[in-house]
Amino acid sequence: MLRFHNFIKSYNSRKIVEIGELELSNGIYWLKGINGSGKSTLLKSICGFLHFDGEIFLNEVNLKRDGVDYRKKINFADAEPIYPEFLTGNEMIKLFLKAKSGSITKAEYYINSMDMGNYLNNPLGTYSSGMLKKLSLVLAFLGNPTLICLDEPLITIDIDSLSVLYQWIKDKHEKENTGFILSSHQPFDLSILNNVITLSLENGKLYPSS
Amino acid sequence: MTEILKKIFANGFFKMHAGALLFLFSTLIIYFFFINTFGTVPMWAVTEWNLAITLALVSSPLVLIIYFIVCLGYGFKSWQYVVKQLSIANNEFLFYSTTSFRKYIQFKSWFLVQFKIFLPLWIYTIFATVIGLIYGYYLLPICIVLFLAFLNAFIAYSYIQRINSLVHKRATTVAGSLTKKWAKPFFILFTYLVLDKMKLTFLITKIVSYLFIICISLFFTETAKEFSIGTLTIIILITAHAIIIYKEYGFNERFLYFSHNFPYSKIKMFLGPCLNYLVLLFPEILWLVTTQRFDHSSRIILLGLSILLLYRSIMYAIGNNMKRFLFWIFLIFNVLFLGFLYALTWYSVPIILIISYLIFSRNYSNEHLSD
Repeated sequence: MLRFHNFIKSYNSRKIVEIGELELSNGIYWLKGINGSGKSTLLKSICGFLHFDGEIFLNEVNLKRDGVDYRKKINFADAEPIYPEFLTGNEMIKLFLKAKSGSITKAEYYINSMDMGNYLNNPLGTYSSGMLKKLSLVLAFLGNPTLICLDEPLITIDIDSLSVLYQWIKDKHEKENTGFILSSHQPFDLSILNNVITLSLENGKLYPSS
Repeated sequence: MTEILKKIFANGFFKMHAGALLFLFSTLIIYFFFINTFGTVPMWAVTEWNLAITLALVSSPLVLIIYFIVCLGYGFKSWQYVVKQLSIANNEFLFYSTTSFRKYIQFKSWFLVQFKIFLPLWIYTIFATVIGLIYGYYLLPICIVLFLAFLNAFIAYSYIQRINSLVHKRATTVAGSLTKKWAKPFFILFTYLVLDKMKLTFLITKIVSYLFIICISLFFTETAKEFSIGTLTIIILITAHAIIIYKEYGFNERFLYFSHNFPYSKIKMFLGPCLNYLVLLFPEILWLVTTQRFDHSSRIILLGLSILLLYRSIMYAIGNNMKRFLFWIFLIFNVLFLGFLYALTWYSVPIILIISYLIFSRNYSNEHLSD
């Protein structure tokens, strides 16, 4: 469960997002909002990237007080991932497996289901944006997260990979009770993800609605 | 097109090298106007000497050759900057937009871009040429102007060649192939970047470092092995690595940004990069270990790492801003130097470490990044 307490994220004293008190259960959330509404900022704040005022708790673990424990429980995939060009995909996966205490068996499952095996030994500088995006999604699923935040997960990847991603989300949620916050401008395929809860970010306020 | 290119490349070049140019400019100003000479120098003599220096450029072939070398060095540096900027994703649009203009229009634009980059050289060249012509020197002033115009045109032409040719992206670099099977732990990734992309910067830093070490050995032949000299050396050596620290911050915040989500404590993120620097400073550490007593060298290395961590933390507080970084480096260097004069530097190590950690801790999830 994700809980906000007097959360305020500002840039140069300009408030971007303000959430007084809010509790979100372990569901699949679709974070909606127009360009510049603060979706990425909110996700990066939740995932421990950006400084903010107030508190965020994940299963009552405080991000500011117990940052290490909190970050073990939460994973993130960026909208446009950037990684060191000299590393290979395999080296990135090893790095994340170590940091997030993930299992190689699970990693292999994700790699194979996205059909990524044939290029993971190449340096990331040679990857297309779609290949990088798929890698970032694999990395976000490694370890044992309670919550996974995916920023624009539907962009740049091909249609086949999209259905694989939907299946990953569905399985992870149903089998391991992992929560998701997905920011996207495109609607999700509700035939696979039929229990999506909408979170609307408007004028810096978050409005949950089923 | 010219205005866009000028904005991206010429303005970018001056912005990026503002610190170095400002340093050079202020050094020249201080040298010419504020240095107190031994004894009294009448005003007419100062004017005459400065005139003589300028006239030497248009009358002495040797000085002319030195000036040509300076121009070539400046030209190479600017060419390197523009080529690097052309390869970044933000400027990719230039490959499929500017190339649709006729070649002579492209040449005119790139010539003007390079002209703006060369502006300091052009101003000085024209000034020296006018002085030369007034004093009756004709051949060398014309040579200087022609040389600079040729260099300007040649570099502009090389940009056109590059932007109109098909991009050949290599799958891997030589360093990448050599280190392919090596383990790449998180806290040593910057060292791999240095091997892969920053070889020249690293080499120049090491040359500066070792030049200083040679100077110390020559000037302090009797006392070179003393602890105080080791302390002074490490302060200067770490300061000479400021550009590496600046680049490391940029690398961390751009390419290792994902690590903000790693379950690593702040103290681990604060101290972890020392691993990188122990590898990168290996030549200097080797010199210290071989010239100083063991206990002295360990203390000096610890002092070096604490100064380095302070410089790193400053980056987290101010963000990717070279001018402000140079200002802080200058300030801290002077404070450390004062500490050295009063033999307090070693005792300030715990204070430096605490201050560094506090700055890092407060600014690690910094405000300089936006979504």
